[in-house]
Amino acid sequence: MLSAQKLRKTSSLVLLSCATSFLFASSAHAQNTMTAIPTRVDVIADPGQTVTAEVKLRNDSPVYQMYSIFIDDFIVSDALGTPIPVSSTTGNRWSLKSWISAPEVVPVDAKDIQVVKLTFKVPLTALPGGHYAMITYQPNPDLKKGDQRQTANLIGQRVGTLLYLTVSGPITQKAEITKFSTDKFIEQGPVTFSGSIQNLSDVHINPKGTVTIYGPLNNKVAEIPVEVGNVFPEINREFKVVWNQKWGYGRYRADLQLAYGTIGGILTTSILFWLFPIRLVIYILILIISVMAVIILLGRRGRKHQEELEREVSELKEELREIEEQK
Amino acid sequence: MKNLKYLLTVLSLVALEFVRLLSPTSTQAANLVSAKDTLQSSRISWNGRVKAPTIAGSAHVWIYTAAAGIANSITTANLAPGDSVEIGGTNSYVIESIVDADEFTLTTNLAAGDADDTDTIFFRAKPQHIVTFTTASAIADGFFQVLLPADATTPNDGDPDDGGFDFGGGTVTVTPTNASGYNFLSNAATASGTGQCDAPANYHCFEFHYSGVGGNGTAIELKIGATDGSSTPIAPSPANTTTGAAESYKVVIKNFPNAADPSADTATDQSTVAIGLIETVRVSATVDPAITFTIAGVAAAQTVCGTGSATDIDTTAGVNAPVAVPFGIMALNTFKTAAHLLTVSTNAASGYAVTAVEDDQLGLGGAATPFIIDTECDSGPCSHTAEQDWTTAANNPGFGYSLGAGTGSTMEFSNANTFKSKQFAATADAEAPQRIMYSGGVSNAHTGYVCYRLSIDATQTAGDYENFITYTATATF
Repeated sequence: MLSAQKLRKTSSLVLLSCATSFLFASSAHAQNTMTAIPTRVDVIADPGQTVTAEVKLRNDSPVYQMYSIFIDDFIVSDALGTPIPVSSTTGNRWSLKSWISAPEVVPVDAKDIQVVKLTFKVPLTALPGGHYAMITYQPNPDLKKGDQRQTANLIGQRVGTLLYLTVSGPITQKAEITKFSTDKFIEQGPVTFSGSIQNLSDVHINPKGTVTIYGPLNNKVAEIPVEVGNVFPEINREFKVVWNQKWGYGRYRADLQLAYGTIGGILTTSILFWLFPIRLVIYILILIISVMAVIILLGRRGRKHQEELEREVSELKEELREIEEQK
Repeated sequence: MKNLKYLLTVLSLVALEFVRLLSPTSTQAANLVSAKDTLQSSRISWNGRVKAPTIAGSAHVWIYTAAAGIANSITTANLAPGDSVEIGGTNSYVIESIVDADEFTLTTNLAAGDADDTDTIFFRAKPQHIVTFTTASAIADGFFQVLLPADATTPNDGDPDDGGFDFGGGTVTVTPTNASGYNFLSNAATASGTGQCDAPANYHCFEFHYSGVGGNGTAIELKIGATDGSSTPIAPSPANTTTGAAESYKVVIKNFPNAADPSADTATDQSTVAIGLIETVRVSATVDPAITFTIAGVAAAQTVCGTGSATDIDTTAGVNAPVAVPFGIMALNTFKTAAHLLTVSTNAASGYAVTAVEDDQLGLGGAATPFIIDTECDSGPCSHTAEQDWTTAANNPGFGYSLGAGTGSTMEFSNANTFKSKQFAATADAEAPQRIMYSGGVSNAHTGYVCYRLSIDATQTAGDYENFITYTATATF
């Protein structure tokens, strides 16, 4: 049983703790801003090797903050490359989370930057190829359910850096173009090409290249750079290329050529399309025909009028001759 | 009548301007894009000492292999034949050859007084700085400021320093290049610690004032120093240099509005770039790729997620604001709506994505059960992957969210007319986080709104219900 003195002391501590937590909770500001630097870290390591990397967190808020650090695996399942954090690593061939050591909480002064050191300990049994995780930072590590004492949502705000680790070894590097198209017939530009790349590799790839456009006379008329962006293994990634050409006059050919990987992989494909202002040409033709028709009609009308006048003159001459003969 | 209309128009404009001045909009500092400080040469300076048996009348020089004070150069690794070095404080000599790690020879003999023990030996590296970047905002009639790191103790004595660039002991030439919207009028170069160049400490200040409307996305080039080394800052001679390893320094570039005090005011836009100094290898570093994420509260009575989405709750203030949505006491069969503003900036070329997930449904006291269900919307069921209208509170209890367009970003679903809603994906139900906002390219303060809505019916057990919603912003893959 607690003595009265201990009870008073305990009560005082509880009250002080409540007052302190209320004070800190109430001192929250109207917005939280933080920055992860860089946006990606790319590391290469051998099985069994331990490598390190540094990332940074900037506290853009006007007050000192503590940040929780989270390491999560992620997958990419859409064509836009959205990294989706996954909590379970079971069956994830691309998992990296369990190899990374990082501090759990870091303090950052107002408007200051904190360097976070990461250690990647690659197991001897690691599969060669890409392994992916994200490190994210969340302010208010003490924020927990029950704090609000009313019906409420608590918001966790995280920003982070994507971590790519490539384990060296025999890595398959293969990709294919699953789509490269534009409208078959385009009256006027700009011409937008849509494409997608399927990464069949054990590691992410970053295809880069050009779309070269040849005109109706098979002459090269444009060369447009293409950057697909990183493509997660076994995922399709879409891209768009715009040719800023307004007018054309026939059938064109677009050759897509992309290089990818570290062993000189090349992807190529071609499409044909028409760039021709058909409606404009038809309108112009109609206008020309209309003008010509009007001219012809006016000419015919003029000739007819002339003939009528000549006929009237002839009749008058005839009448005049008859009058003279009667005299 | 015509005069009256004119007068009313003028008065309205004056009134609007007055209101604008009373409630100025807050601006978000942005990164100057593609910022670089490219050095004419990345060589560091050299600061060593003469050692016996060096004697006057000889061209052979020995150096100390131990540092003393800022005389950090203790090997000949960073010297090369042809370098002009100052020995003894006055006379200059040209190095003819490097003998070994602590000896070199000169093309002429040392004069009397230049061969004394511990006489100074300086090689002054004076690279011209070409600072380039792309503007992030149109700031009319403003100025750029470039801050070059300086030594804390002797930033302007004309000798190489260990802590930063030395101003050179005189003036520094600064040369901006005019660009569309930027007609440069006057420049100023101020040594660290003099005039108003005192905050932040230990930086030399270079200001480039311009007239013109400015521009967003305009390429700017500013030069500090000259290619012949005259009136040019002296590169540092850092301690503990390792041959082949770059010494990194941070250069700060800022864009201020006219009449701003750069030593006290916050720049409208700014970037910090790293420059590397190293022997013989030219190094220029770009801005660190970064992603910045902000969550801000939204006041009550704001309609940010389509018709009928006016907020009842102010998320800008209160306990844990802005990272809480305090629904408080709920009336039966009545909506309560709140909102947050999300802002993302990144210079990642592939863009960014923001995902959202809740730990579980709103649980009594934060526990798993009993709980307020995630909404099924009006005609339902909406889910964490499919949105539906949710405009009637009665008989449609639950918790859900909607999205509202901001600027620059693409929101995951449109909310042009109604309070279209989804459930938050729930970790407890093994649902993957869902993307709510994204962009496929570089973004400068892209914004978007998330609106939260809650309705309960009479069957709901009384008590406080809580859950945890997590937003994660990263670059896209």
